[in-house]
Amino acid sequence: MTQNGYKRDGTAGTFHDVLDYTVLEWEEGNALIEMQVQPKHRNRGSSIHGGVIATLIDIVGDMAGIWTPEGERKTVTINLNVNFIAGTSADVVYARGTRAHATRGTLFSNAEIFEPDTGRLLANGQGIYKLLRLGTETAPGIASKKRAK
Amino acid sequence: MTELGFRRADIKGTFHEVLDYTVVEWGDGHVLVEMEVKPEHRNLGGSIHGGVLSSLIDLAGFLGGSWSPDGPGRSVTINLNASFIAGTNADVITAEGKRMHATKNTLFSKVWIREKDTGTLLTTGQCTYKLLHPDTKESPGVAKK
Repeated sequence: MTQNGYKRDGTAGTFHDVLDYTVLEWEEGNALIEMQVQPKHRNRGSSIHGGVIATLIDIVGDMAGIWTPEGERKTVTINLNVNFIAGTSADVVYARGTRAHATRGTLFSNAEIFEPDTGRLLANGQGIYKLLRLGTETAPGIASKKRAK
Repeated sequence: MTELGFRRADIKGTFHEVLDYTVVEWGDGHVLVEMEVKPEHRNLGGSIHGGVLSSLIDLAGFLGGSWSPDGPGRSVTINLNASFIAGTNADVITAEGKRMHATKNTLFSKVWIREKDTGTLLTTGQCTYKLLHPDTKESPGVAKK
């Protein structure tokens, strides 16, 4: 399943909205997203904030492993490692996630952030995620009162 | 929000505003920041997004190591590693950043994110930063438009 340039369902009002990214490719084991760099994503020095880069790696690594024909699986991140390789003045960045390995309960993904035009690598990282059992509605440790929000 | 706390002055319009955190304590080698969890910080499932926690680690690790009488210096992050230990439904979380070691050019920090009320540990992180020369105005690799 590859559709081009769409927003994910159900992300309105969440942190995904702040990143404001677009899905370019999403299939089993692979995801590519695009983010327009806005002033709110930048640092005092006008570079992209490290937290934004880390968030993109978290999101795209997750997406690479949760696509199923029946819909998205739910996960929680266990560990995230990010290497910041180069700065950029690009207005658009791409993030690609690939599934490295998955067991029944755990997902290991690799992710790269790069400039779309030049392909220059800006950051890479690895994410480890716990795959929640199908039918899980809320993340572990979250009481149901927050679900209403 | 805490009465003691203050917002950093030079962050208007940047990503720091999205996080909307308050600096509670800030001294040489350590910092304590506090963040009220809003809907825009949450995930599809209602938990705090891992990217928000990673962002807090990034900025608390830097603030923890970069206090000076003239304000924080400038840096770029080289590496960030976050371990997500527990979920939470707390409305306020704190991030404590500590300097582990610093050379002339490099800063190593550790960060602990906790529930404010109970002190339950939610996330730990380690960061490495390149400290920029005080006169540096732009981050490396970011050309002026």
